[in-house]
Amino acid sequence: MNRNEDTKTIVRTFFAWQEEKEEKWLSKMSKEGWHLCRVGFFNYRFKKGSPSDMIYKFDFKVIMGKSEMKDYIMMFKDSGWEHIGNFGSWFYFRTAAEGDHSLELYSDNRSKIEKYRRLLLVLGIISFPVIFFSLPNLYMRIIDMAADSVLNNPIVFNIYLPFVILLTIVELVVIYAVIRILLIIRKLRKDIRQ
Amino acid sequence: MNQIKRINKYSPLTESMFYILIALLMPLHGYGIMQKVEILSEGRIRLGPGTLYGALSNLVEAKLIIPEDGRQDPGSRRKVYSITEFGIELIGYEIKRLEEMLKNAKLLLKERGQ
Repeated sequence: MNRNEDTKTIVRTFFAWQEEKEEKWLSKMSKEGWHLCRVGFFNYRFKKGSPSDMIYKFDFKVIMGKSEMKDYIMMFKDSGWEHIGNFGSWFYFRTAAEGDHSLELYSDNRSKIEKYRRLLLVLGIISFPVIFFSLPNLYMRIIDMAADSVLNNPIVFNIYLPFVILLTIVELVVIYAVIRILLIIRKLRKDIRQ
Repeated sequence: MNQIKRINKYSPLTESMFYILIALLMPLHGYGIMQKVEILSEGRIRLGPGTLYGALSNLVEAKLIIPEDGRQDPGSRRKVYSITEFGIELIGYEIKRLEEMLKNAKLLLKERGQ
């Protein structure tokens, strides 16, 4: 998949609850001299350079409008964090592991919890209607079709059923993600520091 | 009475919020706040950009600070914030609260002979 000697693209994505693991993986890539230079749609592009010790951190933020985006990126840049790109509402930042600045995007637990609450809110808005309206509806139809014995119809069998199964799997992953994020929040709340 | 209710909605402030608020007794942009808080706390508090960005929007929403429209930092075009009257009032309330805590902690430590 190499475009040429100096860059390479890797198809990859991460689950919300594996954020830290992903950040560490990107650090490891930098140590090997491959520095993330573009965040694409389910893929990353890396550029070959000299190996260095970098810290990667992701922020989750819904940004409205260009001027808000400018203010947001500038604040991170000012505190020594380079903005590499974003995948949806996940923003990728990088900084040198040694430096005279904050090595965390979030310096207290209160604001860390706020970040995960935003993530929960977005997951909820996206999946609530699907889980409580679309999926029950789709299953009701399957039951109806089974009663009418039209399940063998090739369109139903090859398109409709796989679609419903896929959607169910996606929503199960979302539910799992919500549970993992709730556990992260719980752990943060138990920490008596604010 | 109503004002006390309004203040209680935001007190006690977190350490970061308190420092950001007192830093804004003089108008500053985000990066200026970071530097000032670090100096004031003698390097103990280094605000992360995510924490500061979130805190500023929460403080604006609570009407404790306001972005000064049209008064951007001339060189960098960064947004400049300043404290409101309500913000100053809240600081006054927090000072009394913190003084009470300090007084009691010192008193009880003394009673224990330490």
